Amino acid sequence: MSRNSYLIPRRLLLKGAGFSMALPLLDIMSPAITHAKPTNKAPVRLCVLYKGCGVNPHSWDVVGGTETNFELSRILKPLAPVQDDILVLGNLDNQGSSDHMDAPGTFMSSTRHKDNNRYSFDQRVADQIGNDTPIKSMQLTADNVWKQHPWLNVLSYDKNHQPLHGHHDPQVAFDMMFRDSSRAGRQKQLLSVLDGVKEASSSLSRKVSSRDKLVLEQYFDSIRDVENSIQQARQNRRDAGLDQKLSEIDPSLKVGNLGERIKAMLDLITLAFWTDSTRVVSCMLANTNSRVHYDFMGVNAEFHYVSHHVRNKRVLPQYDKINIWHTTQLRYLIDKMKAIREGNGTLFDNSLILWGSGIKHGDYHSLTDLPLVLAGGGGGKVNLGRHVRYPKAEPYANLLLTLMTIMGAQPKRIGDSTGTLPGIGEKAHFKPANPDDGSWKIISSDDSTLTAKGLLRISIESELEYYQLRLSDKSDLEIRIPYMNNHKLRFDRCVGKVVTVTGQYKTVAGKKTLVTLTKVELN
Amino acid sequence: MKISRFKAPTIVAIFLVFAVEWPPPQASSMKVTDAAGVIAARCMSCHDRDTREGGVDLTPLLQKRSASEGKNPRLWIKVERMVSRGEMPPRDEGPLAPGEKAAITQTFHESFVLRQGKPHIGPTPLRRLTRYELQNTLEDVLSITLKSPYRDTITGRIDLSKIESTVPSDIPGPSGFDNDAHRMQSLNPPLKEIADAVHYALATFNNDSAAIQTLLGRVDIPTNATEPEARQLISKFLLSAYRGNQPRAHHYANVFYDLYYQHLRDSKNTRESLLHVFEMILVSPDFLYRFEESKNLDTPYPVTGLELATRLSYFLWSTTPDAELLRLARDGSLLRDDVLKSQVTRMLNSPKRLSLSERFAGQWLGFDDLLSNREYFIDERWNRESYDEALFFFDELIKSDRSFLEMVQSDWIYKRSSALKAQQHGYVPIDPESVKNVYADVLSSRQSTSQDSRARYDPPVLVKTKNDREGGLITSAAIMRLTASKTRTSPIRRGVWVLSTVIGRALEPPPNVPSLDEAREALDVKRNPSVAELIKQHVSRSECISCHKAIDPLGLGLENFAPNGGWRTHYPDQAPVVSAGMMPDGKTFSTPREMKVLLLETYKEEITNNFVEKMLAYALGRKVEPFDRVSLEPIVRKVKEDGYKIDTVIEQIVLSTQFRYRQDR
Repeated sequence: MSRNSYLIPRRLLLKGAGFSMALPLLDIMSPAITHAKPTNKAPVRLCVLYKGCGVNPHSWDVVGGTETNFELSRILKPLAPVQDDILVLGNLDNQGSSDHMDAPGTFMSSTRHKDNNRYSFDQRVADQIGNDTPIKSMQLTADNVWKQHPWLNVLSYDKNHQPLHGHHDPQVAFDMMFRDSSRAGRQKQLLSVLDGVKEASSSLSRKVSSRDKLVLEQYFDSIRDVENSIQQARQNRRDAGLDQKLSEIDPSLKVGNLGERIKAMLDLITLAFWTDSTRVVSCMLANTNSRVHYDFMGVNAEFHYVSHHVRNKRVLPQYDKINIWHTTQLRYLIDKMKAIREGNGTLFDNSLILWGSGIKHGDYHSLTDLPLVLAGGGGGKVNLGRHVRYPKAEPYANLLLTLMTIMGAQPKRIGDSTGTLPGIGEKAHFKPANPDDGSWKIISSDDSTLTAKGLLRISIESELEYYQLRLSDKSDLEIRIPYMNNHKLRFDRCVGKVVTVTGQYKTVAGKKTLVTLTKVELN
Repeated sequence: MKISRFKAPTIVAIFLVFAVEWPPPQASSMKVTDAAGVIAARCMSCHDRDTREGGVDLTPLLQKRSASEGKNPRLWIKVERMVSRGEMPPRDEGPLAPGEKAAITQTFHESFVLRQGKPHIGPTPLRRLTRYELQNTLEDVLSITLKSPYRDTITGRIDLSKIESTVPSDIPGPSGFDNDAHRMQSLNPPLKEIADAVHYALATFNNDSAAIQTLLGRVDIPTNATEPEARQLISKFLLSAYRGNQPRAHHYANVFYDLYYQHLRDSKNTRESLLHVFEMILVSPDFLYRFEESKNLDTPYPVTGLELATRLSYFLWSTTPDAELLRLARDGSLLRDDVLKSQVTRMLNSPKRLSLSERFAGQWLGFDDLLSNREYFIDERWNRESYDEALFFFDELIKSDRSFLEMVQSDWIYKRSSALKAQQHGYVPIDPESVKNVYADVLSSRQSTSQDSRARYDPPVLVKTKNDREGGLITSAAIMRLTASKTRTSPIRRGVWVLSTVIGRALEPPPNVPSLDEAREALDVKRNPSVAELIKQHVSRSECISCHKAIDPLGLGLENFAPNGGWRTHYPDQAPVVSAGMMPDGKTFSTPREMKVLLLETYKEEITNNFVEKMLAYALGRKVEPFDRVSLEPIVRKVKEDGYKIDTVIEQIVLSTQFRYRQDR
């Protein structure tokens, strides 16, 4: 793996250059793999990206199509250019708690905070493979510091069920990884300081209580952690000339608004993976009670407020806008990792990215059918470019178990897991949920009313919410009805299903559009 | 017989120490029935396993052993609180008979307040320096400045100091404060980051001859020191770092000299080797932790003078004890009540007391977020000034020994001086000269010379309130901002803040709530329902009402304050603001001031209990437990007698057994 990594993020960050500019540089840097413990195979890295506050299910769900031939939904649309690099998963149900404070930890462990036995899947992986890298695992959170609710921003829980708080400032995280203390001279001195402290402390028998002794043991555990981390960093650096390269660069990470902060964090994750500084990262884009205003993208309300899109009126367009923007962040990370060559493939091929939210419905906080996307080849263990919707709801914990297995941890179970999931490393071949039998069409029509059968979806392209009935001839019949009409028929519950609708239509620009519905039947 | 002869004096002695009323007054006069029996008869129709009214299932308490063996403490605490406050059983079920009530409170007292019939203070947890304390302590030990100044430049963020950007911030624990010993123990200390911070502090020290002079009595660290010189410098450094603990410093002197000598063989430079050893000392457990000598007892015993000096100093100043405290600690006089009291007075007159307002009030009320949470950032000047208005307000309570109830309503406030300079505002400063003098030290680090008016920081000034909108901390710009979103206010959010933070109610999260749309539809007859009407409809279900009848009026009474704390009479959509409502007891108000008066009238008792409890938790670095009641109750009594003075709270906490004693098991 190249230790030159550093130049790329800097160019992207400071010059705002696209990949087209970064790529030629990469070629020059001849990324020979010089991994800490040289193996023939590049290690697999795990990255969890958590987006808080759920989604509007209709805007998220992929409706129709087949496992490999499908059209992405409104929220997922930004991933269209990399559709072959993702795996969209549906019908996985979590257990635990969907509470604001609790949802992120539930997402990572399938357990409730209350039960005090959380041991998140990323940490189970880190405890298995993390000692081979300078940093066992890294936690980042782009959301703000909420001291009044200490659990809110926590994704990862260690083996003692303690929450691991993320870095909020990418610059601080960067410094921790690459600056001062990672310089050889300082490392040597720090080791000597810690040696001295150990020697001095063991020389004195103290009259401390047995409880205090336990705390003291923790202190010495920390010393061992630092020592191990420094050893790994030294090994990691060998032959790579990292010091010299770092000294040529002044990485001033510009982090003003949330957008810039997240971008910097994604750069940092790529850099950390590429330099093999760590192989396990969890990163929170937003928590599940996020009070952040996305004003940099023109949403002048709290994310959490707009996520309650049923009880708060007229917020849905803003809610979708934020969620769509989160998708573009995943896209950014995918592009970035794909641009870095590693062995015969790319960093992306050796990464495993889980992207999703701890709840599905932003207003109802449902734990069923979680919004999930996998990306990254997982070292060849993930079969990408597919949409897999499990015919029967499966425990979400089975996905965590599967990811842990791919990462080389040997888990027995996590949460309510029953086994690994089919359809991740290989094609699932499930029957499509709503196969087109050729009968989707306008059944009858007169001057003002019509009856039609088709697959109901919501518009993917438009900012406005309206409905479309997909017909067998691949055309869409538009449905734009007043709010109360929709509400009384509970029409929006039919989205994703095959329905027969009857109502009045108008012809707009030569196309029929239903403007009032009188009857809706589920097929 | 033999046993009782030995036991009797011990029990008497402990009662003297604790001055606790025992047995509780009602117990002797009533026929006390069995608590499990009372619960079975009076609670289980709603709180059995199936009904679980309010999510509470009391089945585990039906077993006789459940209380006597100290089991299910959380559930018991809940039951005792509801019963002693008279909140349960609900009104329509009829109150408990005095004997029934006594059965509950007495069982609770015997099982959770006392241990084997005796008062105790619980095992004393080991305290580690928080990041804030580390920075303060490094500043004082090394005589250097590490805090970031109030800057003139606009950086678009509140700058962290080098220490703050190196060491991760501490996470508040169950006590609500980041000095929570149990929370700190649950996480490994960030040693690498602490070592880096120490390394930086020592580099600063090494370049500051005045600092070196103060600590080591010479202008520089010698590059060519003789052995006795080096020994002496190491000893001086140790004594200062180990908070004046001579025996401990003495123990370590030889070890650190040996380590120095080892290092010197390679470095050949005594300055480099001395700094190397100084770094070890500042990373060592005896610096980072506040060890106290253990007698391995399960009953309370007094700490030593030095240990008390350290406890006191970190409580009031968040830093290492100064020379005077150490002197009084060494000769033992600090252990005397009168000396201790006079030291508290002295310490509260020192500018260092500002740490108490920063860390206690800043975290408790949350205005610390103005500097640490980006969501609340408007610009450096607005945030600094709003923070300081709240900070100086709280400090004024301490400085002038005022009643903490003035947080709710006062006829004075701190106002940013920019508001003062514009003559039309018409504020009257109170004794400006004295303010200047008292805050001279504090203000010296808060001067700004910038020509840019957006960047120029003006410290707030003590003024008389000039209308009935202002007064107290609750309606300060800081709190109004922290309890609103950037663009809109939420009466529920503000109400929850007042009820949980100021009054101290533990609120359960709401069950599934009807949507505001449903509320709107139900109000369809009216074209433009007001905020109050919407909320009323929104929470009309019976399981909501019990909390919201208390929450909503507190928030509605603050609707005249915009998210930035400014006064408003109309919402952005031009609808008029109505700050009116009804307290749970039926009393009505129509202005914020009237609401605050009722707030004080209705909740004075709870506000007082909550304030003392929060301050005690901060002082002890842990959550307040049932066994702390033996001290808590006398403190509250004394505070009430003394006119709710904040300095009485502080003094009584310092004099309490919890503060002056330790217990190992």
